Amino acid sequence: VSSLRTLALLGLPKTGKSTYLGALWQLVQDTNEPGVVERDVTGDRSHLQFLGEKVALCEEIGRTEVESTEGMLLTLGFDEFGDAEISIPDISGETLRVLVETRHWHPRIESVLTEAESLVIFISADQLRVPFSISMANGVLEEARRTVPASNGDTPGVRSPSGDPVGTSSEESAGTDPDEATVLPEEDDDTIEVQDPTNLTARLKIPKFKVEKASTAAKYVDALENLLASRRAHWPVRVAIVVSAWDTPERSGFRKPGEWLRKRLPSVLSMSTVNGDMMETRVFGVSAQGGPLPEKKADLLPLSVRERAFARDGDGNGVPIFEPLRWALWG
Amino acid sequence: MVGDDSDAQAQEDLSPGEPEEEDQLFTSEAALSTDEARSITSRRGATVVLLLGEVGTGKTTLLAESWELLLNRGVIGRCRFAGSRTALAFEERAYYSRIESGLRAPVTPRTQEQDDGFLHLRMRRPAGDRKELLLADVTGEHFERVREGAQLRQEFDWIDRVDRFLVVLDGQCVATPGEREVAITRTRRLLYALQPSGVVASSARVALGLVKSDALSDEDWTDYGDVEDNLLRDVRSVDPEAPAFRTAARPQDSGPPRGLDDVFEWLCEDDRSSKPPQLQGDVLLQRAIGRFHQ
Repeated sequence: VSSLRTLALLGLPKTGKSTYLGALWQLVQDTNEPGVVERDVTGDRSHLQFLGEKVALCEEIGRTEVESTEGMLLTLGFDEFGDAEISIPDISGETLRVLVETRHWHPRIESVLTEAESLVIFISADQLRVPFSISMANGVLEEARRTVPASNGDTPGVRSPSGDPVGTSSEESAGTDPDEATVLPEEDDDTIEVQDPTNLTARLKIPKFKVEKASTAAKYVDALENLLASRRAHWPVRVAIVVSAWDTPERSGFRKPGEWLRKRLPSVLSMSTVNGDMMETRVFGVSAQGGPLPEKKADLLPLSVRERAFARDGDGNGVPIFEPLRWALWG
Repeated sequence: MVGDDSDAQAQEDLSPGEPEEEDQLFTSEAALSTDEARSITSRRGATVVLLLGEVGTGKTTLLAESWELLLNRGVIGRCRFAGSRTALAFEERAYYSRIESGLRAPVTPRTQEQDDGFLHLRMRRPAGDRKELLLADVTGEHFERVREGAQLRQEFDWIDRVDRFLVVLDGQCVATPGEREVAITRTRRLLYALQPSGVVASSARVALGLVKSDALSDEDWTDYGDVEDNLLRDVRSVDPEAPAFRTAARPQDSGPPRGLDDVFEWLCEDDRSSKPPQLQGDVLLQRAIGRFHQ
């Protein structure tokens, strides 16, 4: 058992962990950045270097480029605080996905949690599956039909429960793919029969719910319950919630990551704040690339990662991008 | 999702294989079994909630829409969301009301008897403490059998552990000529089923809940006042403090759910004091007169 403070870095797939690690690695190598330095790496150091170079070159890290077969342990020195271990069960996020969707503790995540005193949880602002009700959509469309003249070719925007346009923001695109939810006429093990709500004498066969279709909030609620239960002996656990791709919400007008979480995932925020005996939470926003790719690549590429990557605390104040780690380790 | 060989390799390396003995998760993707629910009640003193109503009255819809409210707001009334061990089971119930289900109108699949179980919510009460709720999600067929003479105890061997009984009256039926009387009679049968000694613990609370209340017209509402008064009289023979709720969990006008705030505050309240209910003034007067004549 290490005598160093240890944290576990976790997140579902495509939540920005690999880009964050790439940016962190570039900072660690940057002699102009005294806040954090490398002490040791256990795992595939070349892959870490690869991630760092991708970020330095302003290139998006594809899912297939994320090494999943091996965990990683970074020992870093934090200026004025000391050394600590950052334990990553897998960069792809598969271990957490397996926990939530296939209901299994992967040995690697179990092992990481045995050592970790605190957690850093990644949530992508770009990949939310937000629950949006049919009733609300119908209501909005009905209202639009009443207020928009038929001759007007514009399609009125549908708004989410929080009032933001649905389908116009990449933030909420993950939950609205119509191709994923076609009503099936044939009998199938993956279908369920329900009464046709528009024709009370008819029955419909529709695709069954699958856990991967669950809302982002529900997946994180489920994950947090299990993660916290596994650390019961060490409550309260410090949990840093990192909203990755933070430049996306900022472009939508959000200034504070805490406010974003309150609007987008209020159940996760509520769970994080009312269980003070179980967890102590802070919210951060991190843009590891510094802006959207590939749109802003030409503007970002001339800048070093230290110059363009940025992070905000829950209230929107600028902090170093390693601050979520530092806070999770030392408070 | 698996796009190429390297991804497939990653999947394979992380494949769960056969679950092992110690591979116990704290949460469940399905409603909790009675044994799982018992483990929570014994350790944390959870509040067990039973909604009583026949098939199609809207019990599961009320639970599913409560979950949607919590996801979208993090709070119902003054009770804040603090967690759930059955988030994915709630998701399954709520899924068919979401646009990604592909449906043009929301539905709630009928609860099957083999799927009977408990949904779990952890709520923070206004006072700052937490309350564990175990919401029974059971098929309405149980209550059809109760109507036909079965005892509640036969249908639910955990009935004496229930802390909140919400007797549901279907507003859609109340608003439909020809169905109204039947619906009221059936609700009254369920109230009678609560009256035998030992079914409702002295600390448990009972309430009457009109669901789909948005179906009632102005004229229906005028008549419903008397109906509610009569039913409440029966409810209060079991719990003298019983309230009546009027809810529309999934309103036809596509508006937000109505009436759930009051229901949740009631669910999260303290249990009744185990002391005998305070007697009304006229009863005390009668007793005093009786003693005087002795």
